[in-house]
Amino acid sequence: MRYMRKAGVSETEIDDGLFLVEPASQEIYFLDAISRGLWRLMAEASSLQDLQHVVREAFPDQAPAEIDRDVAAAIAEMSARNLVVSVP
Amino acid sequence: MPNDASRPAAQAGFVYAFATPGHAQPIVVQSDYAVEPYLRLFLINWPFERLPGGTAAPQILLRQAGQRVAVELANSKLDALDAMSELDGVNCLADLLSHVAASRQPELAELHASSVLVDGKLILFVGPSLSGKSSLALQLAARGYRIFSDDRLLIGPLAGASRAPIGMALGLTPRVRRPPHPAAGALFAEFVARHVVKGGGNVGFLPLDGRSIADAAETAPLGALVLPERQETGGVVLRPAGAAAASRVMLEQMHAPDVAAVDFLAAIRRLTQALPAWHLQYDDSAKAALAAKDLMAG
Repeated sequence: MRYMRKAGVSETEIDDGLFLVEPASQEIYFLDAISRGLWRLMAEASSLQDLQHVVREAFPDQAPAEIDRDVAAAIAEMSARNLVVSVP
Repeated sequence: MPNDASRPAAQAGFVYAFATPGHAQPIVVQSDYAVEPYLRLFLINWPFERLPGGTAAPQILLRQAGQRVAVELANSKLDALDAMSELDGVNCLADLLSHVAASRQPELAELHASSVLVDGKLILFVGPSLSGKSSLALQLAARGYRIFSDDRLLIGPLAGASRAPIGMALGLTPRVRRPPHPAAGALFAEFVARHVVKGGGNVGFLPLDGRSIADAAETAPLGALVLPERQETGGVVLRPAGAAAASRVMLEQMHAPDVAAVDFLAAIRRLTQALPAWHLQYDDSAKAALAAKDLMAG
């Protein structure tokens, strides 16, 4: 399964922070550093494994298992909040 | 207490028209009991008048049920507020009056913040409950500065990048825990003792006069955002907060339910980019308030 940004979600950058608005619920979300990077990557459909691999390479000093867990949790949360969708 | 639309309206004859800060149309309140004896504890200089019963449709209802009072917006699906006494009922009335006033100002948002006028501009202390917003504002009031809000005010404009941001006072009476914490200092304790009117439990009310607190609908330009964080130790530390950090706090503390989320975010971005923002960690509210005040001079 691959993930990508849901169409219609709007972005607002404020300083170094990125905020998203989910159009149906009008909920506003702040993306932390990891989620922001993942959001950028999901401009194109990406598998969870691909996303974990990119983040592991970006943070070579951190435990890979911890990164994998954090990335999976971030994707699950963004999916639950209707910010990203899964695609075949 | 559910708001049952089928329940008949209160029939008892206390009807009031409260002036709406910054808006021409009054807010009509219908109550089972006279609210005048308690108003001074909650509202600063909100003009109102008694109306003959049945002359205007109410926006807010106060209904007595034994000792308790249900306070609710008319024609709303929201649950009524369940007040424990007539006094608490007027406390809830003040909350609803400020919400109705805010909802009538589409250009302004309600912000959970205390604010103080320093050198012609407002310092906003923005943060969650128990961050010490009220204490910081009262520390400055005790030193002769004028409070604009103890707990919330209106800010804006939400649209129009060319206009300077302003705050509008809502005329809500400051509240204080009694007795004041010893660490607040003698000046603070003396100020509270001079003005306090006993409320319920350990809460007192400070019905300050117009020299110490702004009237409802008074406006002033915004000067700085201060994000307080009370700590047990560590002294007073002021450090710049980026616009992103300030925006996250504003997002939690600012409310404009009728504004689209994208426009709301845009308004927060304009505000946080227009105003300097500071984190304030402190263990001494007097020193912290003075440090924040000095920001305006600098």
